[in-house]
Amino acid sequence: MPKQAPNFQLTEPDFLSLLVKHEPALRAYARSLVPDWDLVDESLQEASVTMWQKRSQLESVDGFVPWAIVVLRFKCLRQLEKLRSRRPLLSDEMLEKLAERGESRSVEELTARGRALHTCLDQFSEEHREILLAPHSSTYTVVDLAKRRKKSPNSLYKLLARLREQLTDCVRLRIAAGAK
Amino acid sequence: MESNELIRQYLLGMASDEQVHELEGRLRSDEQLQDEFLLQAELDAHLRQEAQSGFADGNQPVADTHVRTITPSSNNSTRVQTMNRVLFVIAVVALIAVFSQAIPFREHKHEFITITSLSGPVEWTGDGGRVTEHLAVGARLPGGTMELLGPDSWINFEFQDQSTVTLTGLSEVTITAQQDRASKQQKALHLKHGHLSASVRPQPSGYPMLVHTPSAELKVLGTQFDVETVLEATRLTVNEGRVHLKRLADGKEVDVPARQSVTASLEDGNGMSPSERKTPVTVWKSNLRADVVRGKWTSDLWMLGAQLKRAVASGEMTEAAALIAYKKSANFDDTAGSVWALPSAHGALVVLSLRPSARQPVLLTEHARVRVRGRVYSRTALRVGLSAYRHDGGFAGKYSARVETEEFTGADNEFEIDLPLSCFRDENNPAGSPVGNELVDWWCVTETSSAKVEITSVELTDTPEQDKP
Repeated sequence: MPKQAPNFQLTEPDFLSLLVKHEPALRAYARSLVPDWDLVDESLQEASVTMWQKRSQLESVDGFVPWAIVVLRFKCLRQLEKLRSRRPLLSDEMLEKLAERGESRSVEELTARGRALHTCLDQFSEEHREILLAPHSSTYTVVDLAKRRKKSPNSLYKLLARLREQLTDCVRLRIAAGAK
Repeated sequence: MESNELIRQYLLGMASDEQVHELEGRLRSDEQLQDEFLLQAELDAHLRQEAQSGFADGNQPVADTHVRTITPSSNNSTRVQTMNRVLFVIAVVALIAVFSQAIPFREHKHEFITITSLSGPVEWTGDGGRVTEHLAVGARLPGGTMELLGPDSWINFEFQDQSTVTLTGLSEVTITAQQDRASKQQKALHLKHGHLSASVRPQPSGYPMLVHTPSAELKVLGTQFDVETVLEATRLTVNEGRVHLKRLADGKEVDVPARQSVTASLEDGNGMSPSERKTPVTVWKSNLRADVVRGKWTSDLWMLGAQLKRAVASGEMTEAAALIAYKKSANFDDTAGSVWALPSAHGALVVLSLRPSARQPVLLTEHARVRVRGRVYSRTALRVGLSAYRHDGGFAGKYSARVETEEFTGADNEFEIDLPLSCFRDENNPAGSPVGNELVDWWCVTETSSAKVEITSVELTDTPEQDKP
């Protein structure tokens, strides 16, 4: 058996608390590999069960995210096998490269970007927020929104692209300002 | 189309074949764009969470109503996200509970082993021949057969008296326990093939733990030992205490004390004296014919014969010319050859054990490199793996490295890969390193079971980078 650090045992409440704390970071990582929300959710659930089963391997709380990401990576790659028959995807080699790059990003960076995004999102009007969130809603689409607003879907897609650029710029600026 | 737009289309699942191809090309040559891709994926994940938070507190979807449903208040947003996370955790807890309940033998009254950790595909056949691959940590099982299906599989289980057993690699064991009227239990393990490592608590007097292999029978009163059984031979290494071994071929018996090992073979009926643990070496070269555990050994001479037969059948050669060519190459040294990967449920597979060819333990050092030569006849990535045991006994871990398709570019399908030990990672313990442990077996597995791979040489070298010519 791999040797384990003495005196470190992850109890059920500890495990769940770590999972809650780092779930956004794990979800962001899974999203970079799997362009399908249902399969991202499945990957996360499967990974959580595996993490629970193998929690005795964890040697410290600090090692949770890197360890969890490795478990999640395998689950995501498995989900991609399902997805590949349904839609065009980046090559395995490129996805591996992106996965490795994603793994090298620190938890602090991920948290800071999440915080920046929420601050930036609050700066948009309610109408624009609704458009920004439309592609990620499970109950309405950009096309539904266009119908309701009596606009063409094409014009709304163009607006969405512009808003997304603005949001990305805002996040970048906030991160840069934070770094200074 | 701009790169950022391509990324967004891709992440939303709206990109066409051409667009994905275009994105791949741009990402390949631009590391900054790779970071941008990761950033966009991250923003997507946060936006998704924000979009979903409109429903966690029972609000109506944004599109259906003019009522403000996604509130700009960050406090409320945070509250809703926290609720989402709690819901996620509840789902996970429920899954864990369901998973644990899925073990079919939970209520069996004769459960006497508990799984404490596992990795990779493992199949369990319990009482009545019920088969499951859904074993989980904490599952309690009665007697039955455990089969490890992958070269990187391992499982650790515990008896009621806290004696522990670890099985690794392609191994199969049947576990039984018999209890007498005085409630004294005698455990027995029937190891058909593979590696087994056990740490056995003192057993009741007259009731030693028994380990049966095709070539030997072991009696264990309380000790730590490793057993490997391959075809007709069993290798026992005792790390603590003492184990009594009986060779089945002739009934010869021997007591093996701590730090000694012995091999019991059905073929070799000569002396069976335990030998002291030898000083480890840091290099190893496979003897493919002797070392192969999984894979098809083919001698070069046999291959030549097959090629000549094909040439005669296709009319390229006369039978007389083929015979002359065959006789010219024929010699009594049939050790030259290769091992072909055999298909398995988890890819085409070759496994080599170090036991037959390594006369001393093989230590994995910081500068160790694994060099593999062979031929690959299909477009496939390869995973190369090592099994390591601690120098004082017991399983240390399974480490593997992935070799991409692009690495196989040699002429005539030939390849040579040279991997530093730092490339090898343990999936279950990413921070772990094999350095300082001993190599016990080597394997390689392809992505698909139909892939054709031939291994011609495997060696472990130990040369610091600056000393290389």
